[in-house]
Amino acid sequence: MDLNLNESQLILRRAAREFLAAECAPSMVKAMESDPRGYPEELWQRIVQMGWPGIVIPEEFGGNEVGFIDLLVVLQEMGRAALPGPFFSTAVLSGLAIMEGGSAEQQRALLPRICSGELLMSLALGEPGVDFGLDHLGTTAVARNGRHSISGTKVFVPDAHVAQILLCVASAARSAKGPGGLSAFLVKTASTGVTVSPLETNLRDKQFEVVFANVRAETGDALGGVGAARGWLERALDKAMLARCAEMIGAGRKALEMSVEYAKVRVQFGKPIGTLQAIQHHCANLATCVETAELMTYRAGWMVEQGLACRRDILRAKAWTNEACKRAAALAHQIHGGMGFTREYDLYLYTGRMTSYAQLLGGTGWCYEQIADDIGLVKPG
Amino acid sequence: MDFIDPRAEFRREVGEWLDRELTDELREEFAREITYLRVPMAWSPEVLEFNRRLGAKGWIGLHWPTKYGGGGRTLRDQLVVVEELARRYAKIVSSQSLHVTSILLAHGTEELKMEVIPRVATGEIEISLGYTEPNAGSDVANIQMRAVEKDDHYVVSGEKIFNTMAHWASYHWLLARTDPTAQPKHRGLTMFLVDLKTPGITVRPIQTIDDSRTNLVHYDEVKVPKSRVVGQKNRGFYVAMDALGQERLFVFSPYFYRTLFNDIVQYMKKARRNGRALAEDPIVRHALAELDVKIAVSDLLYERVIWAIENGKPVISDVSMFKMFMTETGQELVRRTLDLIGLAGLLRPESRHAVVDGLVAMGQNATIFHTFAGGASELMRNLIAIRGYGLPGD
Repeated sequence: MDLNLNESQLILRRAAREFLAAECAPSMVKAMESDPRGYPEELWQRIVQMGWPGIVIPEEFGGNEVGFIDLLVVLQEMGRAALPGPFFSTAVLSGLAIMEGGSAEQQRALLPRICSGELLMSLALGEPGVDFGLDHLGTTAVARNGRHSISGTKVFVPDAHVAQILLCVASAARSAKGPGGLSAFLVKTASTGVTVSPLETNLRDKQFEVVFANVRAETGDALGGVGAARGWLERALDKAMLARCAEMIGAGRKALEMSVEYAKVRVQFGKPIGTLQAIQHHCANLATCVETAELMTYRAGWMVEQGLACRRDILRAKAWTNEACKRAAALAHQIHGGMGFTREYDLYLYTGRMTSYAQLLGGTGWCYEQIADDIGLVKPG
Repeated sequence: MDFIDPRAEFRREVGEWLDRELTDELREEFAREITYLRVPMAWSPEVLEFNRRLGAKGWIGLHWPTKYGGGGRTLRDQLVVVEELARRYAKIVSSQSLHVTSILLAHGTEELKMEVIPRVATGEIEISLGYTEPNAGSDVANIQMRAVEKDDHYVVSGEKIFNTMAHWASYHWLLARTDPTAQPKHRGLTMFLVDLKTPGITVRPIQTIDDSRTNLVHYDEVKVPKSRVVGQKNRGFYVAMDALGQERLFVFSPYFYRTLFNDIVQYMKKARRNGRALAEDPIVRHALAELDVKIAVSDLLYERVIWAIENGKPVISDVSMFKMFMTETGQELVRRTLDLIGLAGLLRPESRHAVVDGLVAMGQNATIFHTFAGGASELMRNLIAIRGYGLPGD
């Protein structure tokens, strides 16, 4: 057992932290909240120069694939800097999906363009009334004369305003559910019948509703073939859940550091509030939340990297990171008081991600349902 | 980074042996008498014999040097034995002696070590911890029990409380005041290893609400030879603090709670209540999923402490976090499960209507002391904040 990052992971972390400290200042992140695109194009270009879009993609496709823990290390730094932009939707969500599910031909066609930064993509999965996962989806792809007609409404599609291609998850027919029934179609956002409209979120992140109205797709547009997506989508989404956890603990680490620092310097009643046990206990609880979420995330990440079966470990990691980060965010605000409640101060950048991301890619209730099934609490019938 | 259990092979060996040696009667007695760190009025001969068999196997003191009867192996190996026992609701009944021996190895005289440690390793003797006093609980530095130097011995008078195991132990691990004027106060304490048969010592039972026993130990001008001092005079506080981390690993086990959790899940899978299968009740499902997660978190905090000890890292904050989290999770497991089970959860093991062998019912009272014994949760949080994150102490 060894809980330390290795030498190259430490170098990677340092490089990421230095890069983001220089390129992703809190003032810029705040300015981007009201920006229509949501990130500066120059920043994306510099991220491309860093080679990050190809971080899950092997060299043969133009990427510079790193181990799964290395990916978590980079994402943790991005969470720490509250980095805006299409990295997660393109490099993580779409990159992992294509790696898991794409045919060799599809991988050759798409992955090099992701690595070069010219292709932005996103995943159209969630629907109104369906939080996460692959069950209960209502979007259909009806086959007719060797072609497919996709209809349905997707929500919480990140960065759909800049993505050229959306990966739309649909079932073969309205009644089809269960193994074998799902496809993921590569749909150009500019296709006839695709309507993208923004969703207004607390976080001011770029989330969209995407309506597909009889959108035409070819059989060759189905990633990995028609009707065969469930298995690899599950694997890709499992990894994406941990990727999200890594961002959350990055934000959590930042909130923890800010809170401890604030407790040391904020003077009330003639002494730093950090001398008060009530505040010390808030800090201890906050530290416990962040440290444990980090342990759970990296342990599951290590299992992924080792190729071990770890579905329950991933579910535990996401559920725990959700709950720990929500509590940690509340504690960080309690320690900061009024100062942390202003938009001038930076704390909300991190606590906002800690709480909002807890709902995305597997909310706690959803994770608990899966865990309950996994420990054998099987619903009769 | 890796999370490989390097003990898998030894774990299998210990598990197989225990499955053979733990008879139904022993299992039943352990589950009834010692789960949740309880101590019975008296041990049965069978339990004591089992403890000696563990000793004969070499599994008590695996991590101590062979010259004192230890196994010359690692702390991890010793913990495997503790864990596999906990997984079966059992334990090394002389477990406080494990804590004491770790300190004795670092600070004891050769003579004391040779006298005591080999007998601990055979599983014959227990050593009772004598820290707490009526006015010195979390505030260990406030110990008042007096030890006055006189010729070749000390004269000790005063009272210790909550000295679990003192009614069975052979020795008393006593922290007493040798300098009443010392400032700060913790610099006036000295550690002794006292033979509990020494004239002037009285052990009186205290019944606790978990149907368990602890003790009050009274010293009336007891003559303790100077050869019984562990470490230097007036340095006892530092001696005592040396192994507090390890102690918490030996007593609060995520393995016990994982087994208990699994047994609860087995019950919930089949049980019906108010005309409905509990397994399909979302409240039950979510509660058990959350508890599954928290036990997994406890387990990682536990593993982190072992890793830190092995790598010579400071552990005080990590150990505090583990102890606090594990014990609070244990309480939560019992509290919430009682609610899910309903009325039957109140029935004790001896009731023919008991569910989960009455173990959850037992936990109702038995988990109460875990969050203040061996370092109160409040103190654990202070240590995380002050030692782990550099917040100002007082």
